[in-house]
Amino acid sequence: MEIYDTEEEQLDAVKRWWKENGLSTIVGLVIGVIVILGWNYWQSHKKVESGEASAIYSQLIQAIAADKKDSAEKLAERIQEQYPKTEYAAYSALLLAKVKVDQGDLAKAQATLKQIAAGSDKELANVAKIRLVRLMLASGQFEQGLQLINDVDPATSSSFSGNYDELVGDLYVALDRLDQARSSYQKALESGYKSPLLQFKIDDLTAPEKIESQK
Amino acid sequence: MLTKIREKAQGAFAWGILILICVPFALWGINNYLDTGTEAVVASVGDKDFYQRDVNKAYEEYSQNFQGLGIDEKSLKAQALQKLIKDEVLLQYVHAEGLVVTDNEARDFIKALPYFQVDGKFSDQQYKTLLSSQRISSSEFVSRIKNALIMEQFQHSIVDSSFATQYDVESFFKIQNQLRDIDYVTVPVQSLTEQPTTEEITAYYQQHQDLYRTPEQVSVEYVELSLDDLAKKIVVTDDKLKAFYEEQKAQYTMPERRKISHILFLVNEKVTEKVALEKALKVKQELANKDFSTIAAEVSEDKLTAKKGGDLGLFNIGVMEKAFEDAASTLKLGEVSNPVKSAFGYHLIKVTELVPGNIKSFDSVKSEVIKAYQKAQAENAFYEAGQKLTEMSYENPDNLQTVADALGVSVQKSLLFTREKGDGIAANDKIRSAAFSEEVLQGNNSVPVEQGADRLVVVRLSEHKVAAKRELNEVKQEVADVLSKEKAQLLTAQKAAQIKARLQAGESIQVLAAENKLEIKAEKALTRSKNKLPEQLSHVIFTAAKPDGTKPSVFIAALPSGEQVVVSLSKVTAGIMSEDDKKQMELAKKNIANAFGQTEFNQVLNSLQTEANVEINTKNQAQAQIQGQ
Repeated sequence: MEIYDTEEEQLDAVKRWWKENGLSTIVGLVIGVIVILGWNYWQSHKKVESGEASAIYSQLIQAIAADKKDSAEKLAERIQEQYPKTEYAAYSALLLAKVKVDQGDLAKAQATLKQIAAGSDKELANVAKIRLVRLMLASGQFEQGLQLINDVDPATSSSFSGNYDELVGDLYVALDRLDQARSSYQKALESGYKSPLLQFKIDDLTAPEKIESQK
Repeated sequence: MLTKIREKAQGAFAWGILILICVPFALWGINNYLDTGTEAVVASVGDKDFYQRDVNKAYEEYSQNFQGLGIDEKSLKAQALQKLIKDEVLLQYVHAEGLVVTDNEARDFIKALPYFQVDGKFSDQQYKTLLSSQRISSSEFVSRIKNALIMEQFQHSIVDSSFATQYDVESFFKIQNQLRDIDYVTVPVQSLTEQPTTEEITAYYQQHQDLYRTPEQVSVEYVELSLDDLAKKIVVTDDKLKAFYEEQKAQYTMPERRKISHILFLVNEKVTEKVALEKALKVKQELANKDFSTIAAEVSEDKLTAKKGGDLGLFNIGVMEKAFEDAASTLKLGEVSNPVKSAFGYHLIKVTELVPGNIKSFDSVKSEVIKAYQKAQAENAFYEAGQKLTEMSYENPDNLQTVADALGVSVQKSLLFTREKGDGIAANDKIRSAAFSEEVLQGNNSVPVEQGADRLVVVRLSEHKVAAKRELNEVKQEVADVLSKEKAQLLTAQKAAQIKARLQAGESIQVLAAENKLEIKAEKALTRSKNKLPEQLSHVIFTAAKPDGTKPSVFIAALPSGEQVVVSLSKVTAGIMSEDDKKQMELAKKNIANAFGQTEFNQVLNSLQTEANVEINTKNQAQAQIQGQ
C-alpha cells in the first residue's frame, strides 16, 4: 500500500483513481439499480399475472363442477393463450382434456395430454401419460399403450409405478394375455399401491389350480 | 360397488382449517404459552420445523374424523404426523409453483362460511368473536385460508380433470354384472367314531403348553387416603358451622317457583296483528268473570296447551322471548296479564301457582352443612396427608405400617388378581399396573396412585404367584374337546378334497353325490350382488378361477359352521350393462373418474414427498411424548 505524505497527495491519488475507474463504477451502480428494479417489476408482474390466471381458473373449476362443457372449454383456452407461463396453463390443459373426453373427442384429448406429457413438470407429465394410456385403451391402441409405458423413464416415475403396472394389466386383459395381466396386477398390488378397482380385477383373473398328476 | 369405489374425498384443506376454528381445543390455548425454545424438533420439511405441540394439534384435528371408531391413539398420532408432513410438502410445492389466490376470492370464501353468519349474512362481529376466542388474528386466518385454497387449486387440477371412458365403465360392468353357473354339494361336519387317545392328548398338551397356563397373579396390601375419611374426622362446632352457612347461603336457597298458563292468539298470513290484538283484548275483558282454563280450552290457538286449560307448566327463565318472560315473572298469583306480543302472536298469561323462593333455615339443613363444612376443611388436610404419604412411603420402602401409623389409617389387603382383571381395589386398572410394576414386584412400595381427585392409594406386594402350567389331569377334557373338533374338521376337509379331486379327474357330480349321500344344488346365472348364498361361499365363487374351456373349475369353500362346500363352476358369462345401469351411466362415469383422480392425486403427493427434504426424528417424538405425560 502506498503511503502519502500530505493531504494533497492523498486527494490527488483519489482523483487519479476516479479518472481511471469512475466510469465503470457509475455504470456498475446503474446496472445494479436497473437489475433490482427490473427484478421487482418482474416479480410483481408475475404475481399480477398469476392472480389474473388464478381468478379465471377458479371460474373454470366451477364450470367443470357444474358440467358446463362449452364455457369450461373457453375458459381453459383463454388461460392457455393469455397466461401460458403460469402453472395454471398446464392445469387448464389437463381440465380441457377431460372436457374433450366427455364430449367424445378422444383425438383432441390425446393431443392435449401429449403436450403435458412432454412438459417439464414431472408429476403432471406422469398424470398425463397415465391418462393417455387410458385413452389408448379406450380406442383400441393397445400396443401403443404398452409402448408408451415401456418408454417411461423409471427414474422420474417411481411413485407412479403402481398406476403404470395396473394399466399394463388392463392392456394385457384387452389383448387377452391373461397370465401377463395377472402378474402385472400382482406387481402393482405388491408395491403397496392402492386403487379401488385393483383387487376386483385381480379376483377376476384367479389362476386355475395346477392339478398334480395322479399318484 | 359403485358407491364403494367412491373413496372418501381426500384433503378438503380449507375445511380442515375451519375445524380448528369451530372446535374449541383445550390444547390450543395452552400451546401459546409453551416455551418453544427448548423443544425438540419432531419432523422437518425443508426449512419448516414441526414440534410436538404441532403434532398434538394435528392429532386433535385429525382425530375428529375418527371419533368413536376405536382406532388406537398411537397409530392415529402417526397418521396425523404423516398428514402434517404431506400437507406441508404440498404447501411448499404450490408456493414454489407460483400459485396464488386473490384477496377477493379469499374474502368471498370466508364470507360465505356459515360459521361467521348471523341470520344468513356475514357478521363482522361474529367473525371477530370466533377468531379472538381461538387467539388468531384476522391476517393470519386469511393467510391460512389462502394457503388452503391454493392447495385445493392444485388438487382440483388433478382430481377434477380425471375422466372415465366408455371402455372403463364397460370393463367395470363386465366384471360387476358377471354371471356364473354352478353345481355344489355341502359336506357336513364329519362325526368321529373314536375319542382321542391318551397319547394324542398328552402330545397335544405338550406341544401347546402356552395354552394351558394359569396367569401370573399378585395380591397386595395397601394404604388408602380418602378425602371422605378425613372429612369425617373434622371436628365441628356450632359457631363455625353457622359462619360457614352464612358464607354459603346461596347453596341453601330455594328459588321461586312459578307455574303459568296462557291463551294464544296467532298472528299469521291470515290474521293481522291488529285483529289478533283485538281478539285478545276482548277475551281479557271476558276473563274478569270467567274461568281462565275454560276460556283457554275454548279459544286458545295453542292447541297443545289449550287442552290442559292453557297450562305451560313451570316457568323457566331463558326459554321464552323477553317480553313474555318479563310479563310472566312480574305477575301476581291469579292475575291475568295484558296482551303480550311474541313471535307467535298475542298471549294472555296467568300465574296459576306461585311458591315464593325461600332460604332454608340453618336447623333444617344442618346435616348438609356439616358435610359440606367437613369436606371443605378436609381438603387442606388431604393435601398435606398426601404429601406425607408420598414422602414416607418412599422413605420407608420396605413396609407400609410406618406410613399407615403416621397417617392414622389401617393397612388393608386385596385378594389375588391378574394384570388384566381383579376385584375390589384391583378392579381399577391403574392399581393393577402399579401392582405389577417392576418396583413393586421387587418388594418396594408403589408411588401413590390417584383414584379420581379425592383418593390416593399406595400398594406393596403381598403375594406373587408366577404363571404356572396347568397339570394335564386338570385340562384333559379341554384338550380332548379341542382335538375332537380339529379331527372332525380335518376329516371333513379330507372328504371335501377327495370329492374335489375326483370331480377334477372328470367324474360326474351326480355319481359322487350319490356315493356320499349328498344333495346336489345348482345355481344358474348367479350374480355377484344379488344372491342368497352365504357370504363366504359367494365370495369364493366370484374369486375362483374360471372354467378352462368345457372343463369346469372345481374348488372348495369352508363355511364358519365347519361345513365344506365343493363347487363346480361350469360357465362364466361376461356382464353387460342393464337398463338401470345405463340410466346411471353418468353417475358411474363420475364415480370411476373420481376414484382414478383420487388415486392419481395420492401418487402425486407421494412423488412430491420423495423429492422433498423430509426428516422425521422418531427419538425426539418419543421423548416429547414422555415429557408430555
